[in-house]
Amino acid sequence: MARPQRKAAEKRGIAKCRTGITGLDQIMEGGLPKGRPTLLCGGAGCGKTILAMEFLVRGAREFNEAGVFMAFEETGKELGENVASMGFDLPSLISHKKLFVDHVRVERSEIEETGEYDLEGLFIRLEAAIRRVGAKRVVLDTIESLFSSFSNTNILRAELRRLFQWLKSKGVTVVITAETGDGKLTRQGIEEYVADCVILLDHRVEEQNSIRHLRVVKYRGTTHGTSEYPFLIGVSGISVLPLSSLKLDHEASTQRISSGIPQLDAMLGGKGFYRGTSILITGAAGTGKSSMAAHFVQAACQRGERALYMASEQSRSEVIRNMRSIGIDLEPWVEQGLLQFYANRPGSFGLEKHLVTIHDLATAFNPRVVVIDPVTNFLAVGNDLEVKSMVTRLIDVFKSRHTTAMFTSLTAGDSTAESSEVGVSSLMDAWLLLRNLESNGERNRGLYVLKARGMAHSNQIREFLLTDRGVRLVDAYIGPSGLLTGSARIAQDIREQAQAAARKQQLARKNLELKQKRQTLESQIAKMRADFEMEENSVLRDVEDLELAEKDATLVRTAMGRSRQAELARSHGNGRA
Amino acid sequence: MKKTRRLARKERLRWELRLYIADSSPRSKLAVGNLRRLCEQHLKTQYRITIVDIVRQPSMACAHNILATPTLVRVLPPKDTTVVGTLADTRKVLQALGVQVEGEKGAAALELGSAHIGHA
Repeated sequence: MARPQRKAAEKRGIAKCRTGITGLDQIMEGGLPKGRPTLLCGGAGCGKTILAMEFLVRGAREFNEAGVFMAFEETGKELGENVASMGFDLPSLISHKKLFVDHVRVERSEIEETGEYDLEGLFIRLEAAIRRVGAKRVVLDTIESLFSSFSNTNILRAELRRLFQWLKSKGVTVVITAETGDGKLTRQGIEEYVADCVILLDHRVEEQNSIRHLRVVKYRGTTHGTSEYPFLIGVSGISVLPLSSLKLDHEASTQRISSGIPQLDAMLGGKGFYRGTSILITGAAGTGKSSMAAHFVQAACQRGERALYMASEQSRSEVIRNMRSIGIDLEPWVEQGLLQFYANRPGSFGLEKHLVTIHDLATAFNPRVVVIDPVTNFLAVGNDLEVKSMVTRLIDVFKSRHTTAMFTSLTAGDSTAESSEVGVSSLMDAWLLLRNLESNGERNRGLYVLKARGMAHSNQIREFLLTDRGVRLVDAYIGPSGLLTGSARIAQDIREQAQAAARKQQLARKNLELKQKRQTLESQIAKMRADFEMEENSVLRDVEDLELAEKDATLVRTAMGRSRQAELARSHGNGRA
Repeated sequence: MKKTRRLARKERLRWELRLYIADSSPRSKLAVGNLRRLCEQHLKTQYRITIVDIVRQPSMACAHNILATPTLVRVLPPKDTTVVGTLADTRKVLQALGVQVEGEKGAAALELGSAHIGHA
């Protein structure tokens, strides 16, 4: 119900002029009111001039809108030097007619006044400047200094009112800076004339850490974020950090990336983590959190992706040296520019500054994978709530960039093993728990996958070994007295190995036996065959002999018969014959 | 600027004044009139007035850092002194320009001599 209404209002609502400043347009739901003046107020040194200048620089660079900067306090040269550290090249913009800086010297007490006057000079200068570059954006920094130069405040007020009207008629988007004072937004009360939009900047110190905040006090004709948003002045300008988790509109990726440990990937449905998710690794000191992180980073570099390693306990060279001991060499990736380290003690500056630095790094280096090791160290600079809000913002920063982020979190002891110190586990997509498993007088490491959103994952506890070839996960044995780890597991291993060997021997023996049997059988067969052949031969010989004998006998008989017949013929008369 | 000053010395000019105005507004006219009269009366022939219309020459407003109009700048004698407004109060203008009215020495005397000027 509320949503379509709001959408319609946005459509009908006033036109916005995008500032291009990170986060600010989001809070202002599009930008500053286009063609109208915006009052930017705050105490000394809270970043008014820088924000105003960034508005012009980004306008020129990103939206091709030229700008005019009327400086009442600093010269063009000083301004250029002040913002050069943020990569704003004013001389170049000026020479390309994208920017015009007019320094208005305001000399106190050198000016006598007699009779009436107006500020036509200022109007003419502005007009000339706007025409010169075709400006769409104008900054007046800080127009209230005029009050120190001219004493007739009645004239000044009337002239300022006329100036703002005139600027509106010019259709330029104007930022007017002013200093807060005496509990009022501006010292001279010029907020009376600039009623469309008021932004308040604030710079205060909390627990020795300075924090800058921005708040949109008033924005006529549009909705806007109303909280105090921390902002920081980083290497690429101002970053305002809205708690954008209110808008949960990250695109979910179905792509999976390896954790760098094949056995762990296997536990995570066989494919590893989802890209663009947040991974939490909790564990007590020395459970191997950093080693897991190093694997993760190495795997990313091996895929040719950029990785950012934020170390808040160890320096870059320490991380590299320590990881070498488990066979992970990160140095080549650093040399190839795929891996960037950001090592900083959390206490060195405030949470917001860290947040912005990380944000700036994420934008400039554009890593696909980020490791924050450990996130718990930020507790040194903020309380639980602040750290949680910071981590939430970090997660948003990374998720919106589809960067996979791994956070390690140090737990005080095994007693609190299942609660992450900064209470951010609910924000994470995957949660690995590393635990010390104590048994048989030794300490071994165990790994659990406590949570892995959107994937089937192993419920097994794995033993986790740090070897000189990296992290290795081994199946833990469940023995009669519980989980077997360390030497108990090794003993079990040896027992199993012995059994296996015995089985193997037995098998070999059986095989040999069988072979021998076959050999015996075959030799018996051969012998029998030989015997048979011998017998057969002798029988055959006998048969032959008998046949020969028979033949002989026949011959003898025939011969005898023949001779007998002849004798008969001779004796019985030769008649017949 | 240097050239003007050298020239001025040659011609024995003591006062080089520049009045910045915006077009022909009533205030501008008033200031021009006031300045002319003031110079006639108190600076004799030793002065020169240049009138700059910043509407026609906006770059002059930038170059000489002019915000208000009318603005009177004393170029000579150095260093530059500025008076803004219609120059309604002659005494105040003279004081700002550092003009000593005849027969008087020092700033203290000027205070006493104001009545004298009125008579003259």
